[in-house]
Amino acid sequence: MDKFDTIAAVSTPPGTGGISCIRISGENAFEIAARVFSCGKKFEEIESHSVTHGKIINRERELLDEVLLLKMKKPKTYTREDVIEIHCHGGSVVTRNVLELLFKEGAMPAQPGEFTKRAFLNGRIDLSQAEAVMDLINSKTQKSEKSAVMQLEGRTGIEIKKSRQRIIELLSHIAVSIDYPEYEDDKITMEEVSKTVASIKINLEKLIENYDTGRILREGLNVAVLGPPNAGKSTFINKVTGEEKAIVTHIPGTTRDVLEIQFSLNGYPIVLHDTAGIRETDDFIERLGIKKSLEIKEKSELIILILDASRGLDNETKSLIDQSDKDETIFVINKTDIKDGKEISDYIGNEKIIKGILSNDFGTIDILDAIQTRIEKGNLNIKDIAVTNARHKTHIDAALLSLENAIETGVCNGYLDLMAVDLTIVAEELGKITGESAGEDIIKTIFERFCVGK
Amino acid sequence: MDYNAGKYEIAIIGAGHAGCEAALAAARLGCSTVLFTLNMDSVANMPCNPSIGGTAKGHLVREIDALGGQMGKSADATLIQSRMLNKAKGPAVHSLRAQIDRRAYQDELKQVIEEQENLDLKQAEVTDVLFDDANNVIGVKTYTGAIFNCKCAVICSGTYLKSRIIIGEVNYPGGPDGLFPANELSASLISAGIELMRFKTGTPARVHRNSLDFSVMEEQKGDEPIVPFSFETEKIDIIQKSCYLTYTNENTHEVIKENLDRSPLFSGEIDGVGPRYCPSIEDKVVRFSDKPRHQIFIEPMGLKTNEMYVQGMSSSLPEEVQEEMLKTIRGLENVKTMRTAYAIEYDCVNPLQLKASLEFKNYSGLYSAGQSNGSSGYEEAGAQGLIAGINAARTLQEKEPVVLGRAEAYIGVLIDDLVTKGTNEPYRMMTSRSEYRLLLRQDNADIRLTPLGYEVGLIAKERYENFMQKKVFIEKELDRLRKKVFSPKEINPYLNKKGNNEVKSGITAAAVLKRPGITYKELKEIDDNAPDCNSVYEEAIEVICKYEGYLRRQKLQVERFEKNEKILLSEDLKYSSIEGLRLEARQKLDAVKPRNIGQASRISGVSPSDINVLLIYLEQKRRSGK
Repeated sequence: MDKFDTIAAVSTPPGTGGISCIRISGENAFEIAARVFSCGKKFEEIESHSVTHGKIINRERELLDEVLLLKMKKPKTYTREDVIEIHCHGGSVVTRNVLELLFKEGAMPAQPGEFTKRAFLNGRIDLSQAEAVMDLINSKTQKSEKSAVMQLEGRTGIEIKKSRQRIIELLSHIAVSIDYPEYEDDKITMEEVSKTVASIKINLEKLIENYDTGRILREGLNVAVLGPPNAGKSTFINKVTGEEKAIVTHIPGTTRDVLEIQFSLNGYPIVLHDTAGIRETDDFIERLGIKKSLEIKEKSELIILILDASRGLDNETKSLIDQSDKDETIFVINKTDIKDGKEISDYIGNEKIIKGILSNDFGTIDILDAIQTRIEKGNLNIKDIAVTNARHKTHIDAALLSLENAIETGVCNGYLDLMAVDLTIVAEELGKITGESAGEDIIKTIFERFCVGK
Repeated sequence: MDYNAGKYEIAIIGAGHAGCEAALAAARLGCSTVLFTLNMDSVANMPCNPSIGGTAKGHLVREIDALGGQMGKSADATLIQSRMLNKAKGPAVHSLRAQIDRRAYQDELKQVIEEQENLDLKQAEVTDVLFDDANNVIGVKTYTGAIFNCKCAVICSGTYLKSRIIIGEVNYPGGPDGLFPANELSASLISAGIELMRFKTGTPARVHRNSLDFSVMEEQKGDEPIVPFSFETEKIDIIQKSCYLTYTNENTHEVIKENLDRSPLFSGEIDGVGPRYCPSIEDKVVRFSDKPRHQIFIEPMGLKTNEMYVQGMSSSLPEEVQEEMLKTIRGLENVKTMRTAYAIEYDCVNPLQLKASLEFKNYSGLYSAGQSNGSSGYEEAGAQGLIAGINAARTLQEKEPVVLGRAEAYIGVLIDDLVTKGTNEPYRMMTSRSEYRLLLRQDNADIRLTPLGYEVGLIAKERYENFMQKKVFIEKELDRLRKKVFSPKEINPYLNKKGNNEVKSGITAAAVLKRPGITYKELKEIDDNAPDCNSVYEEAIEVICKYEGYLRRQKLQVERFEKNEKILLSEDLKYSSIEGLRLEARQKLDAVKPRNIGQASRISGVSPSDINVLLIYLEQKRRSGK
């Protein structure tokens, strides 16, 4: 096998535990670690398979975290490559920052199942386990693909797609002027290209800026609060925000009707998604609201479904229960002071149900306890957004670098076809996020947009 | 009725641009070869535009020549105008295009073929390819019942298979340029189990030179001096012919719009798939209705004819509508049409059935090249013909087939695209199809491919030695330029003259060359140690110096790309039995049978996780084989 890139990833599940572990594997693992790790001695003097206490320092000489570092020389490692493990202590945001630093220093984000894949390809894992390795890669990839698809539906995804589309249009414009030089219409000038390239670069830079803060703020377990109008969702949110001292921030959600609240539940970062605004009586708006709520539900790892006992088992309540995945849902029946809600709990079936009068603060703690229990039982389907994000970021960074090269080419020699070489890399890097390849897209655009031919 | 007509090692079916290259390559590599043509007067015919080269296509011609093929040499011998396109752009996209005397080209190539040892040219329609029970080619049969035994056959049937000509409401079986179609071979291929597709293309009218008013058109002259296609042609000294530019106008578009219901394209008469890149004029008018005019180029068909080709007016409208339409164009008011524009529909092979050697996966000894593989253009055809001819000969000589990579040649890109992705329209080469076009320039085609041509046996020793001299000279000179330091006193006057910033300390010649506007030729004048050399060498040296940074970046991309190209996949792999591959991937992989992981990853419907599964599978197999 050829040498692989050096890869890094957080190998403990997100959101749980006080310590998280970052693993680096590959021929540059030691070199990269040496650049960010500082302790009493030189890095090469650290013995293999030993634990060293030290600090992670970034390029600006700022301390990111105090960590324990394990240096493991090949071949006696999981992947049979040089491996570094960094045990971070500062919580998930800090861990993420350390990981980002490693990416900046040249590590690549690990693909799903990649450590295991390398362990196998390098002969570390027994042949009999090959099938299991394939399954693992498949299932992990599917999960992360699902998560990537989810992200692409968001604003970030739309922005990336838009930028990529503009690049493709530029490229096809340039390609037309190269491949059909005799056609005098549709010529594009260096000024036009440079202007567009600069504007795309600014957009992507902005995106990455927002992207970092967006990621940190949204990091944590996504919990959606769902229910019919007036069931008590907002009451619940108000109780949590009123009494929880550990609230980090309020931020308006991506849609006007959703509010995101991040807080720490006994150390677990939680993002509560309130789905307010479904109260309009107008049919159309109501449908829109429900659609939005369902989108949030899809994005979340855990659902709190608050039902209204006073309404009885009406069609809307029924349909909400029917559509919920019982493994991911905490059922709450509110306003049991008005009606006991028995027909609703019967309809739900055997699940554990929390009954409460949320306006009197009766049941709030039970819900929070239930969230914690679910996390600690560990069977929540954590949607691994952070890793996917890191991968997206690497591609955007690479795209930005090539945009810079393109701008430099424009200034230096003014050949559009040379610029196109860099712009093609931009399209490819962004395409790795959106899952599209540049070649055929450019050619398709040429024939759609330009009137050329014999 | 059938009779045994003789024995050859290789039979080439069709003597167009693919067939001629294939036949010459096979014969030159020592195989006894027969080349069949439907009509002895149509060998190497150009039924569409009377030109060779153009963007990306010019690169193909250069590559054919660098490998020892014929097209470049014959074009040099018969061209009547030559231009280097894209000269105002970067060196990677400079492209040669030449107007060719069509008849002269045919005569020239026919004579080369007639003079070639080991090669017989025969007029006959091949109706059947004959196989033994194991699907090995054992011969071909002609319409007159002649059976020729052979071990390899190359299908180069162009647009002739069951071809139909369409002019408005009129349509009839017919080949290009009024020639006969080949109606029988399709059935023989289909009954053997080969999948055919139905494609469509078209050509504009030919009109009489004396009926045109060139005074109202824009004259386009050739470039001086002429840059030849072939690396072996030293100089071309001719009086060049001009082309002329005129435009359609609103009246033209009016005529078209009024008669759209009579166009078979819009009435559904034509069901073959036409190419996006050469739309008919009615197609352009409908799809780009906001355009007030379209360009029309008038090109000479040769020196001994008054026929002129009307580029831009490809059409399948009825004849009388075409006439009315042409007369609306400035300079064509009194036009006399000599040949009517037509659309043509034809059968071709689905190229996904081929290996990268252009041999069929399931029929040993059977090859296909050119337009019969779903491509378009003389140059694309010639390139495939050359490769098919080389590989047919190599198979018989029990040598590994020649397969060019995407990072080696446009020919590599062309064939890889066809056999990996297939095509749903006639495939035209374009620079944007090549990922590594900075490395695949027309100026360095010999550096890239001539060593291979020599190894294969199509490049003579003398030519190879000349080439090696050039190569060594360039390398030595590049080395010298990187070391040669100009003092500010020496260089600043020149920099000043060129509007460049002066330098304060010494600067290497290579660094000076990187600056905009600086040429190697001029720099040599103030460089006492500069060696003498011709302009071809000068160009090569300048390009490498000027674009060093870009070339290095692109080489890095190639290195990354080649990692996966080096992990080979056996032809006998049964993808359907690999657990973990998605069903779609299994089917696609089984159909394409990629040579390596890189090619596998380019198949549509094969995802990155499928590739990972494949890698694991390979490792598993490798270890269990121990």
